[in-house]
Amino acid sequence: MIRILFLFAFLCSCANVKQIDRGRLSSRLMQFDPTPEESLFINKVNSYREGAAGGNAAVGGGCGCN
Amino acid sequence: MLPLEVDVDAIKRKVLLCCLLIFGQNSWAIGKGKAKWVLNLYAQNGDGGHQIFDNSKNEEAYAFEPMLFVAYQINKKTNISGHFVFDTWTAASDTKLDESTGASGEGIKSQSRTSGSLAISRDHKSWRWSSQLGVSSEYDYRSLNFGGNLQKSFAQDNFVLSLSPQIYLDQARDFDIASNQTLNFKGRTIWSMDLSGSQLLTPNDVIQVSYTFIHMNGMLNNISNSVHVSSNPYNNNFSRYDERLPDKRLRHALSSKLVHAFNDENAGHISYRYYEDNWDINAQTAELGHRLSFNDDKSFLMLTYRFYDQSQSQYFKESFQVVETHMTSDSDLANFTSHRFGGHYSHKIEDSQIFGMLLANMEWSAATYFSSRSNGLQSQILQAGLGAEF
Repeated sequence: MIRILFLFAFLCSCANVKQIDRGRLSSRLMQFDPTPEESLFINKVNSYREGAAGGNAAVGGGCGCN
Repeated sequence: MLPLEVDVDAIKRKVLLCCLLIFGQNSWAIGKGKAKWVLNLYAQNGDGGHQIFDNSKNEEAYAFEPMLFVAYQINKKTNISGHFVFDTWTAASDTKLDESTGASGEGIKSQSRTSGSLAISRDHKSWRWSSQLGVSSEYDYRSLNFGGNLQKSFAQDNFVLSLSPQIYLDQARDFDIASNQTLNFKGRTIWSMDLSGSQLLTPNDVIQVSYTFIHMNGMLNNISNSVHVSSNPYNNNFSRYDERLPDKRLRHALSSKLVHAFNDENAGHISYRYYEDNWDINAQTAELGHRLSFNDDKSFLMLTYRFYDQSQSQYFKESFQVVETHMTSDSDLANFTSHRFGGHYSHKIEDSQIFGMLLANMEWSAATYFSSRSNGLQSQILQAGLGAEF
């Protein structure tokens, strides 16, 4: 956990991007998940077909998927 | 009374009533609301399912899941959103199990599930919070879940820190092979905490790092899983027992994702996740993707490749020689590597008027993903979507 906090602190100290330079960053191309509705199903399938979970909203609850 | 013994139908009615009341208090205006239908089809097939009840190892299964997403902006700072799901599926293993137990009331060839969630989010200066309530119900499973998200942006939104707790108060049934009966519902509680941070690195790069902790407690066996026990693997004298897994699982995942723009029309992403849990599973996931925007931003294409590798759980064996305290033959908990290839395409179409309501920014989408696992399972996902603002 301490390592993660250090990593966040490192990220916080990164150079800032000015508002005027964010045109490209606000486009759909640059979203972490540009297809959130479709990803909901895909992430759920992954969490039930694999031993791993986490890193997205699917944490193994809400479905008794066999 | 157990906290899980709730009337799911009553909750669904109340959630629907809340939606109608909130929508009813606002006059319609274009851009205030969004709706999207997504139809999901899932098919899998494999011959390595040592957990299958009838010894066939056949992992054939199909699922059909339509989803409806609705979001509505109440005012400048407040949004509500919800999604509603009805899915139905057939599985070769489930059918065998059901014909044996009659657990669903008849020798059914398919099962169904309904679920939904309602969320509200609110912005206040550099803070944003949201809370969410969800329900899910099927014949051997039901769930009531709550979640939240607290987000704070720093340095003029260059860095965003996000904390997301979730809790699932679930109940699941187990199957007792010895008595050939499906048992009563037993509790399963899952809570998770996700801490993530995203940073704008340059005008062309953005990165996200997150850590997720998941705590699972209660009945973690899968109703349709069983194990093969035989003292002599060379003869046909064996018995099948129900899966037996510990009642606690602690899971940790550390992940990161970087998105880089090559120009206004092309971008790529790369992500990595490391995972471990106290059932001795270690997993690594990596994904590469390319995104393309063209036709004056009306068309969007994303191609992805995903690699996944996991070590097997300490409780996994393909077959057992003696009955052990904990044992599973679930192929999802085995040692395997998988490769997945996929593509998503979406296209914006002209605004149109339907039943007097103007629909703007209409977009249809189609996607397909194909996955192949080293332990024999192959699966395919097909998706089709249609969304609009109103």
